[in-house]
Amino acid sequence: MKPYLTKLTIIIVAVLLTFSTVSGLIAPSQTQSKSIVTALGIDKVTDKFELTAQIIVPQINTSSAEKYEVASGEGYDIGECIASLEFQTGETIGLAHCFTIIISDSVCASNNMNDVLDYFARSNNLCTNAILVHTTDLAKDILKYTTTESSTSQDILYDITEYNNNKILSFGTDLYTFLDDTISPHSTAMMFDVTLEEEPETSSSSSSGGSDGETSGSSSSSSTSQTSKILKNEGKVTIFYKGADIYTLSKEELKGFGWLDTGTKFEIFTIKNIYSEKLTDATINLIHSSTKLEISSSFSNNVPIVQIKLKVYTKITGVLNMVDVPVSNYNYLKDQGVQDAFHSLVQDELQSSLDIQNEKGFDLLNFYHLFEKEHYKEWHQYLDTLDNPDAYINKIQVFLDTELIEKN
Amino acid sequence: MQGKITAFEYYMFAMYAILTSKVLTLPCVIYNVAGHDAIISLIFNLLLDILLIFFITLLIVKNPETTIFEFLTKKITKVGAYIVISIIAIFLFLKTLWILEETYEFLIHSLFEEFSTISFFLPAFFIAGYMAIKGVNTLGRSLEIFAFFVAIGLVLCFINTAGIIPLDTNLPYFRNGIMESLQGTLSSSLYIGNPLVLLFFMGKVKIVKKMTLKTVLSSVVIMIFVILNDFSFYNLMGNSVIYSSYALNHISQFNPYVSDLGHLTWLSIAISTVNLLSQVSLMVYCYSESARKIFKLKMRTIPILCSFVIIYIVCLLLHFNLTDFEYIIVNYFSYPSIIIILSMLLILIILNISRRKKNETISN
Repeated sequence: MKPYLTKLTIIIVAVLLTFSTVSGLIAPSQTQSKSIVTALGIDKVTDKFELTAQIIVPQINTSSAEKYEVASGEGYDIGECIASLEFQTGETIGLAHCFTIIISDSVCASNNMNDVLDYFARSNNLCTNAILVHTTDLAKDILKYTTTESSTSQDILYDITEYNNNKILSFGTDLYTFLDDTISPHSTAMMFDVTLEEEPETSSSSSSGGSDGETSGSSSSSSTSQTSKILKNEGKVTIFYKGADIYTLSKEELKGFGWLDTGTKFEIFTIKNIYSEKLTDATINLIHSSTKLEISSSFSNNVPIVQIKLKVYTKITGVLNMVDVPVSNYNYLKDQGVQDAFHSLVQDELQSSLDIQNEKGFDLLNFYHLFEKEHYKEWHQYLDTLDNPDAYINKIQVFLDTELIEKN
Repeated sequence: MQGKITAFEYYMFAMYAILTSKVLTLPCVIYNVAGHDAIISLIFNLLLDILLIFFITLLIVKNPETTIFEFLTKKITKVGAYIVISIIAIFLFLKTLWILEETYEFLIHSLFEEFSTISFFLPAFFIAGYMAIKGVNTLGRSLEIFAFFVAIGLVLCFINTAGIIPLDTNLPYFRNGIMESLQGTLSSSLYIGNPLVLLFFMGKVKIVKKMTLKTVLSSVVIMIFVILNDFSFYNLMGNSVIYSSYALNHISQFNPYVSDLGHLTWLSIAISTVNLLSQVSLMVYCYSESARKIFKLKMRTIPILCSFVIIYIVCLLLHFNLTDFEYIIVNYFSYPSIIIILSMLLILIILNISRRKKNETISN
């Protein structure tokens, strides 16, 4: 054989040998050896964790819907639970497509969440930034509910979680944001809540979650008994301080914080009790378009002050003026009475949220970082003057400046 | 021309030298030391590399027909030249060993959970060895083609998160002075000095007008994209950087659209694998060329095979993993490495200045 042919043959054989090992041609299919998990639930049973996994069942694709099943494993830590799950399924647990982790109240009550979530943050296995969900029910029940074959269940959990991300409070309910917030100096993190409730059956139907801004995201599916279960997202958020859950904010309590999050979509909101030269006890309905926010900090006599300038861009959908005076071509948003009423509305809602924050001692808006960023030295001097530096939030004064602007 | 690379290929080599590991493991290693000032450490780190590129290119432009071996022999005798070249070769070999292990663990971390070491090291050895044995022209052309995809990937990775990056997560910088930043640069000094590979292309580059300026400018462009990507990573992850080992993987996870579109980590996998293997090929060529000169061998094959056997023993038989490497780098290699880099920088400055003085004397 000619030398160049020998050389060529050696190269071709070398290429075939090396690349066949990585191409998967000689390896078994991954679905034969791996369980693809789309959601996880963590419960506490006596002193052990119970980890429930929602697993895709591989099948010939006859429709767009996938088939799921649920499996659970117990252990003294998450690693043990995963090992137990693998023992039961006979496959390795693959978390690369796990987008949701549901954590039940029983876990939060007896554990620091950092310790529980540490496994997922350090594992090579979970390479998504999964959304964290808190529930007062069993996480296992919620996963079982969303895994029923009779409904469009595979979309329900996703829609329910998206509801919070898009409509309630858009910042921080994913794994890394939770861990970042927990180990930051303000130590305040949050997860939103879902509940599984039984309701007397009125009609057998199924609907996906996520509705308008004023109503809760919910989803129902028919069952064989006379009751149907509903997975509800009522807009509640559970607050964690230093890894432990301390309080659950209702949707109303959360509304004040929502104004200070530019991602929150209020959709329709109403300003009532408007009094001015042209308006008497008027009510205006508006569509929330976007929010522009400026938050600055300062110190006055060693008292930390937060100054908030809030500009809300809206469109008027309707005006109800109690005194029947026709006001044609009137720019309502230039009316001082409207601006004052809006200021009172936001001020009241924000104050209500801040009062809870002060009472419970958490710092959801991360004022700590605001002061540290803008007045590093003064802020740490201020903290040194406090008997209990963890209670820094109580002395912070918040001033609000609002403006309603017509969206063209 | 046979045996010479084009100026464009040389710019690409400089680009790879800047990029290696700097959007992958370096941000995580630096954060553990420099904390909130990590991005400042990273900028110091990159500036040192840019300085090296500047002085090396200046030397190459001034000596277009002289190889590094001939040049050093002329300046500091044969023994001196062998010592300097040996130190650089050992330095580059250590980097090769570590980059290969880093690439392997990166693939396990992001692509395969179970991945045979042989399945990675065999093709990697094959690619790097083949390019290094074939010589500068093959290296130049291959890396020129790969560079396009790496650059596109890097830009896409940044665009992917550009709209959602909070800009103030790590403010204020220099909370405790500049020392933390310098500590960060020192602890990660083995990441600096990749541009030393360019020395081995002295006398093997087709010189064009304003080549030094063009090389530095192209390196600065890549440096800016490295900084932007790492800035995104630090600001998106905040304090949870401590949980991560590979920066590029995490950047796409914070995009709210990713949950709809699926993973975008494939992009980082493609960029990083191609980039790291290209850099490995360059380094293998450089240290094997040094060994060939020092031991007066006809071909680079034997030093390449020997080095691969050592890498195989260290990575596979002694079970060294990335954590071991990072521990050794931060605790044992930081001072020797920074001494080598600063010494090389000093030598390069002296060589450039001495050359100029001589020219001035002749012109006088």
